[in-house]
Amino acid sequence: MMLLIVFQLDGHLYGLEGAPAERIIPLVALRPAPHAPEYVRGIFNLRGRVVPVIDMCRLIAGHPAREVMSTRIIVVSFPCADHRTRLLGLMAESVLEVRAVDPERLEEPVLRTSGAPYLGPVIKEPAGLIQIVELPHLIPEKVQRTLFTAGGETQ
Amino acid sequence: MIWLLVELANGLSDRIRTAAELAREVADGDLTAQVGVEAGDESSRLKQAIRDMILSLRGLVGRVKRSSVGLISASNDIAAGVRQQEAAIKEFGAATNEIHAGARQIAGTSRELLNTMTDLNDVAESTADLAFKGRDGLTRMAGIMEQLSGSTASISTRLAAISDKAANINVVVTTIIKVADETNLLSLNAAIEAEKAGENGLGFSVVAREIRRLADQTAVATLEIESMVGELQSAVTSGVTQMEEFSAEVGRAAAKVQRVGGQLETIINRIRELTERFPDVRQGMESQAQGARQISDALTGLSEAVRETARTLKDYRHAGEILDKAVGEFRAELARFKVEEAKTPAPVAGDA
Repeated sequence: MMLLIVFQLDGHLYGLEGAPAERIIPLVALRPAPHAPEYVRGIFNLRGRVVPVIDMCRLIAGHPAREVMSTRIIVVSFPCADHRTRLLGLMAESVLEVRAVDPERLEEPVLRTSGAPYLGPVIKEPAGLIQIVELPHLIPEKVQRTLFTAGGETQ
Repeated sequence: MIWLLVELANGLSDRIRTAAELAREVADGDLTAQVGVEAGDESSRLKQAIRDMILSLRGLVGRVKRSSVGLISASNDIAAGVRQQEAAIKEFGAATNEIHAGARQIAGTSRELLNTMTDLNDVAESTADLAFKGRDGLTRMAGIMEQLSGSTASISTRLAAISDKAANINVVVTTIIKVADETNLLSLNAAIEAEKAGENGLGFSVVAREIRRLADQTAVATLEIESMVGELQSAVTSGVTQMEEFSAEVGRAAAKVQRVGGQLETIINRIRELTERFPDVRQGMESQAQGARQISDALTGLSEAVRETARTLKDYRHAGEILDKAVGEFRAELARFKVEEAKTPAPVAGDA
């Protein structure tokens, strides 16, 4: 069985694999990251380590996430292109559920676009289709290098 | 001798004849005869006596003639005066009649005015009565509006209290939601941890799922409560607004009522002043009517007196005519006497 952290975006369900997830935290005050790509919402200090935060709404739908109670930051161990993992925050709306699904039921998406290489297979659930966000393809390598200059490796 | 006697007798007889002729002339009214008297005998004394008589008669008739002239003139004056008086009396009678008619008209008009005043008084009284009733009604209405205003104020206060309580509920609900949210987050992290623990975390993940389910239920319930409280609050708020508007409306209406009441009060006072003056006016009109009546009565008496006077004047006129006639006859008689050829006035006609 595979654990999916489910979030919503414009009424559609998306899933993030539970294994790389470190923890889910409520919204914290972020320090803006000037000149970074728009989907980089800012940075914050997590127990002494500076963690960049990606706005999933901005990344996928093009508009910033609303700051409501169910908007949370999912802290993951991000597998970088240099084969190291670094802490990364993903801001998403309606993070209210973790769901155990059978990996056998995953289906390849009808279309994959180069603009969103991270949008992976889908799974049909009673609540609707859940599309898996593939973490390794989330940020291009170039951006990875600008984001993780200060290290921030996970043990 | 005889001749002498005869001569003597003839002379005497001649003188007596002359005397007799004189007497005849006097008897015929001629008083102009000049009587020559010679000294001597008995016949001379007779002639003297006749001459004295003629002179005396001439003086008497002359005086009477002169007096008769004055008598005629007086008679004429009387007649003229009577005529004048008659004309004056006629005019006076006409004037009296006119005044009488005028007085009657005044009396009639006064009576009509009196009736009008009575009607006016009735109207004024009923108007004042209506105004009184209207004012009483307005006073009652003002009282009711005051009560209404008080009631709306108290309702507003209660609504405000409800709104405060709803706000309190909201605070509690918010707290519950926050707790539920944190519980949800806790369960999500517990599930992730359980996943990482592999086989050992299976039981724990079941507990985490259960916790999450409860947290979700709580969140849904609290959200429902929140929306209900929100609706309640907005209803209360609009209720308060409406009550305030209503209260303001009532206040405005009360002010209007007060103003109208004041106007009615003024009307009542004016009417009262007016009706207070009515008796005076009425009295004045009554006395006017009475005065006109009195004038009318007095004129009736006066008219009677005028008629009486006219009758008397007619009598006077009649008497004057008789007098005139008598004077004429008297003059005619007098004319028979010749006093002096030149100075004899022509006989005067009976009327002048």
